[in-house]
Amino acid sequence: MSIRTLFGAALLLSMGACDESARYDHVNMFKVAGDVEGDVERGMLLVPHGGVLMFEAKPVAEPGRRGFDGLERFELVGTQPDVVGVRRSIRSDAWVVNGVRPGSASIVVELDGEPVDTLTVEVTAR
Amino acid sequence: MTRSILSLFVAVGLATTPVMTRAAQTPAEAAAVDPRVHRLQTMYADAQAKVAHYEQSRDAQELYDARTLLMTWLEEHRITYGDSPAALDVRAPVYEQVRSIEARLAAAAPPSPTTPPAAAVASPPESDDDTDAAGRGLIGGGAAMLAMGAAGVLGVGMPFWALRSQSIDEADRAQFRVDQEEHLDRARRRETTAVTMFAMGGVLAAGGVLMLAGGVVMRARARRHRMAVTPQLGPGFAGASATVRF
Repeated sequence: MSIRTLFGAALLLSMGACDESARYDHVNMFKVAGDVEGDVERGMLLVPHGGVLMFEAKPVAEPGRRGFDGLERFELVGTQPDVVGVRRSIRSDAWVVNGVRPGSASIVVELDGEPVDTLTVEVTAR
Repeated sequence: MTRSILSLFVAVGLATTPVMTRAAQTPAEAAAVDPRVHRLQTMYADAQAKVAHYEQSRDAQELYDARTLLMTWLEEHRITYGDSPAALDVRAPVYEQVRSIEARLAAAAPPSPTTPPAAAVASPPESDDDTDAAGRGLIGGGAAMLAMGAAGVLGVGMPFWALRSQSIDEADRAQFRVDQEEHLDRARRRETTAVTMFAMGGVLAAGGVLMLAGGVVMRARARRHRMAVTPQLGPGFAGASATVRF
């Protein structure tokens, strides 16, 4: 086995190791506090008009790959502030949305500054 | 250099043999010349020992002493055995060895003021000793680099990686975002340090391994060239001489 072959095998192995890095799959969310009508259902957020929903959200990596270690920059960015407001809670890993007016809006999921997903928020009329 | 060493040893083999043969021709003659023959043999052996010492120590004084002994040996041999063709044949290889020694002494002498600079700086061909010394240097440097790399990875990188994991665990346990962010920032700094040390240590260790391998190869090559076996033929004599340098 020549030196060149050894270097090639080492390079392939290292590339394979790098490829095992975490890759986004979905966001794991569950309700923490807020209005009774507010809820998290099948990845969709429901919040009543004028109400508040506090939920915890963490990114989940694709199965079979290394999971996220918590050092990644995870952000939820509201795109329609006239329908729903989105901000970080003072609690760890928790977010708060408040329904500004009835309708549907989207929230962009960003990981390390890169948009990786979009969540839907339904603001229901009371 | 190897060729000149061989020529010295060939000369040794050719020169000693006739003296000893001559000394053992008849008991009466042997008894008559034995003290002088013994003196010649001792002088000759001392001269060869000086040459051997020079090969190890590179001390030019050894060569000067060897040349003096051989010159004295030639003179006493001429007084003892005269200038018969047989005696001249015996002395011829010793003359050759003296000439070889003088050539090496001239090569080792510092350049005279009239020597052109280009001749003074002309680099000699790389010898086995140079290769061996370079191999030893590579092995020493490689071992040092490997140790530094391992120390960087194991002594700094690994502890910082463990501290980073500890900070992440603390961030997971933190109840409020401000505390969590503090732990996460600390974990990011520790990760940066650990990864930097892994990279630097890895590069140092890899370089050290390459230098070690190169040094081992160079030393192995130098050792292969240190051993030589030379056939020797002369009047009333046939044999071989082995030259091994340590």
